[in-house]
Amino acid sequence: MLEIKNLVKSFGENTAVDNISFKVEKGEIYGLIGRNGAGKSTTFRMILGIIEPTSGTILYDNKKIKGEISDKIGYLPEEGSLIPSYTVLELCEYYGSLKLMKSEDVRKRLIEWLDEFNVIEYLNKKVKDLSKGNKQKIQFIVSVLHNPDLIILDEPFSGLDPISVDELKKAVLKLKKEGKTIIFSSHRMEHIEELCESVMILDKGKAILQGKLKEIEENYEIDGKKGHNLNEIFINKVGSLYE
Amino acid sequence: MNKRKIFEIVKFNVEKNVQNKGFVILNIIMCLIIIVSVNLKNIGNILDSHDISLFEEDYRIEVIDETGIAYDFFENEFKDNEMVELKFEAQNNYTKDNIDDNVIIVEYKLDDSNNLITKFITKEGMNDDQYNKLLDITTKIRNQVLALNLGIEVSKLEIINQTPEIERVMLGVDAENSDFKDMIKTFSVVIVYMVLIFVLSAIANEIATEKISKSIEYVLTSVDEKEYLLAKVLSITITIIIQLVYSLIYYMIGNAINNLFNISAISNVESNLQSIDMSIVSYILVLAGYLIFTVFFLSMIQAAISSKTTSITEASNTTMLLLMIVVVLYFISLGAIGPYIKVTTFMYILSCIPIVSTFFVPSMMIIGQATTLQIIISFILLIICTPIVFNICAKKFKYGILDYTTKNKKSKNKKEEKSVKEIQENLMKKNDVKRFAFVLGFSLLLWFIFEQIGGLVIPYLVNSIFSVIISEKSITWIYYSIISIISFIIPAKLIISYTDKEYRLNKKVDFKRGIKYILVGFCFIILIQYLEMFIVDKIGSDYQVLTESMIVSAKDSLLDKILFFIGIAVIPGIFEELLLRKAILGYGKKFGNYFALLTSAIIFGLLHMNFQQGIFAVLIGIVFGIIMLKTGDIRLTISLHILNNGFVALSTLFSENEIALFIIEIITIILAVIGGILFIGYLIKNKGLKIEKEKFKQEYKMLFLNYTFDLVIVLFVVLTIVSENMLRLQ
Repeated sequence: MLEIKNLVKSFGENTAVDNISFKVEKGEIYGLIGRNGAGKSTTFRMILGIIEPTSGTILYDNKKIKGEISDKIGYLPEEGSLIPSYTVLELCEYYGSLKLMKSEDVRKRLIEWLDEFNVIEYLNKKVKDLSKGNKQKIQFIVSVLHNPDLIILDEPFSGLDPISVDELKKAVLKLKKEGKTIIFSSHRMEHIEELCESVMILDKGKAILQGKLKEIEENYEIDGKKGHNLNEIFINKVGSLYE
Repeated sequence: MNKRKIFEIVKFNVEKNVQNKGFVILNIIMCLIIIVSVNLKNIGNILDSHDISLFEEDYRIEVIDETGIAYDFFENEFKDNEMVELKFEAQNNYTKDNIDDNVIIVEYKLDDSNNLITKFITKEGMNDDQYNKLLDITTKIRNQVLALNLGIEVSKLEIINQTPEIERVMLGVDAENSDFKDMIKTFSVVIVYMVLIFVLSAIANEIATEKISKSIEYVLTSVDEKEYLLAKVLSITITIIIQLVYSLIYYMIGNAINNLFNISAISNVESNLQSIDMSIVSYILVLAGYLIFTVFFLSMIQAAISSKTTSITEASNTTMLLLMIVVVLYFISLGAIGPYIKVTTFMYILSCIPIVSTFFVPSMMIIGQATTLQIIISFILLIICTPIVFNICAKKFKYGILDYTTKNKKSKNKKEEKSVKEIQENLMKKNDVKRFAFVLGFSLLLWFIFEQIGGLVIPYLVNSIFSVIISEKSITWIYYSIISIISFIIPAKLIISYTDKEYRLNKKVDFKRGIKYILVGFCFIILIQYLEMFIVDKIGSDYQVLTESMIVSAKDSLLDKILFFIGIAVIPGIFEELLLRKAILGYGKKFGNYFALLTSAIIFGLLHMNFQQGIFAVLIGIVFGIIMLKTGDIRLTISLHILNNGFVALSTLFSENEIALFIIEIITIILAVIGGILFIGYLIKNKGLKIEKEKFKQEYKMLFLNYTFDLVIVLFVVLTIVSENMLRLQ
């Protein structure tokens, strides 16, 4: 579904993303792991066309991501993108209009999703009055409002309480059941292990390990032993780079 | 470009703006204000208040008349006015305790040469209308009195008083209806300005909000920056247009209500409409055309600028910048375009430039000075520039709003090259230099203020009791010396208090070495004096700096001579050195010797506030500075300074005694030659001069970062130019 080849992005002399390639199959959940500044968000921004890659190609169903195709992608930015002075409804209508949605569709789907998260009372509340967890829920709703086929979630669980994390996880799994493709990034191994089928570990812009999660966990060797969890592998792999 | 998306965004934004509570409240208020202001008279009628007229209450006017003619005028004026009670008295019977509020006493008297003297006496103020009425009557009485005095008829006198009537005819300029056109012009500029204020501030605000909330990150996944920018500008512009249409409707409602009360208003509007000719219609159309482009241009630039801001306050500050440009352009157009000003080719070319054309071409049009070619060219330029400006601004906007500027990254790379210590040192230095600049600037300001205040008071002191005991010149010089001491010592102390102990110049050299330095220094001073004579001759600054009242010559008393010598040689010698060498050079030394040397020398020059002394002072300041840096002994430069000024003072004192002048000259030359020999000896001994290289460019840049310092420099430069001019005129 999504195919990325030799993607490079450099800012001046800094290379933020260094020649990464990966493929995301339809209906799977793909995880990107890495420390802060590893290049996860930059990769996402390039997929979404917010910034231009220095070189490399990004193909969605063998087509470049432009115009109508970009409307098939949903995006949850890492640092939030809600306008504080808008109410939840206004915000969703605005973002819906950006995706050429009809006002009625926006309202219908918004109410469905608010109901899903049990926060229907926030419909006419201003964004700035919401708590961090609730903001993240609205952010999530915004990213799936237009019924996209590919959903990109940048650090969706960071800074949330366990209950909110659980609710969001359920929502992600629900989307998977509907047949959506999901890419998300995290620096928390347990979220990746729980949800993802394929993973990629990024460090300083380079992909240092990628593939099916199960295969990696089964085959990766540390001191001649196999069968480690992702956390151990990550520490071993990323740690070893600094020696 | 995805037109549908642009349309959707515009639709959403406009709807939101118009349905916004703030918008509705503003409009209700506006509606009321417009309706009320159109119907002010009607409301007055409803409330049953009559026109506020003169003397609407019972008034008593008491006239005290010495002329014998005032009575008739007052009778004529007020006989039908029941509100006013006229009374004629022989004298004023009132004081502030027994006068009533509604009494006006008008007193006419004649002076020795039969001219009218008038007094209006009331308890408190009277209103303008009353005053003008009384003034009118008084003017008539004055004319009558004058006519009697001169023995001519009053009507002739009135002709003399009239301003000549002139009928102005300009064949080449369309000056018809000029009042109405002027009104239209002003009114339209106000509208242009209002529109720009609203549009620009709205754009700045929204973009700053979107940047801060990072919603732009999401928005740019759906539309590209150009579509977004276009949509933003369009939606705000449309909102403003809607606002204007609403305002027009309010006006129409107000007018309709007015017509209900007042049938004559209809014919009034009709006659107004008839007077609008084709030139005004085309003016409005052309102006609207320019306005659309200008709004677009400025909004784009505004968007690009405000995308770089990080807070809403900053964003609204950026609107001020663009609005200021607009105001400046408007005022230029006011000054440069008018029916009585000839339009030059340069003006035609200037008026074709985008944005400038919005203010120039319509105002030229309305007085018939614009050409069709000019209008066409300016529009073509606008159309050509639009996509260019749009693309540039969209690019800048994207860079700014996503903060992915390569510039930031570059500076990061630079930082990596520098060590932490270097960064720290740089920062400390910057702060230090800025403080130095502030202290320096402030001290010089103090110096200036003391010097100026002192200068203002001199004449009063000279004429005071002291002048009985000693001569005026002596007092002048005593006073001058005191002022010099105060004005130099206070800033010097201030600067020294800021100087770190390790940099203070407090050393003492032994006598022999000191003499050597003085002699070598003196040699240079003489050389510089010759050089200066040459320069002064070239630039024509050959004038006497001292005023006549200060110059003491052979005729004056011994006390005068001594005080003159002290005032010219000793006092400046000591106190100028304290401020410039000890304080400023000492403080500046922290940032490098060259820096300190140049700063103190240039300031030494600036303090003299004329070219003749200034140039000399800069050069001599360098010599003094070098000696001070080498020895650190203030006594040496003080002696040199006294020596230098002393010779000048002596040659003034003995200007008529040729033998004395000759002796002074000989001594000077001998001293200079000894100094020269010593210096050559020093050069041979040390095999030339050793000059250390230092970089100090950066410090100079930092110096000018301080406002106080800049202010002082500007002050001194301006005063130097002014006083140079005055001295040359003498």
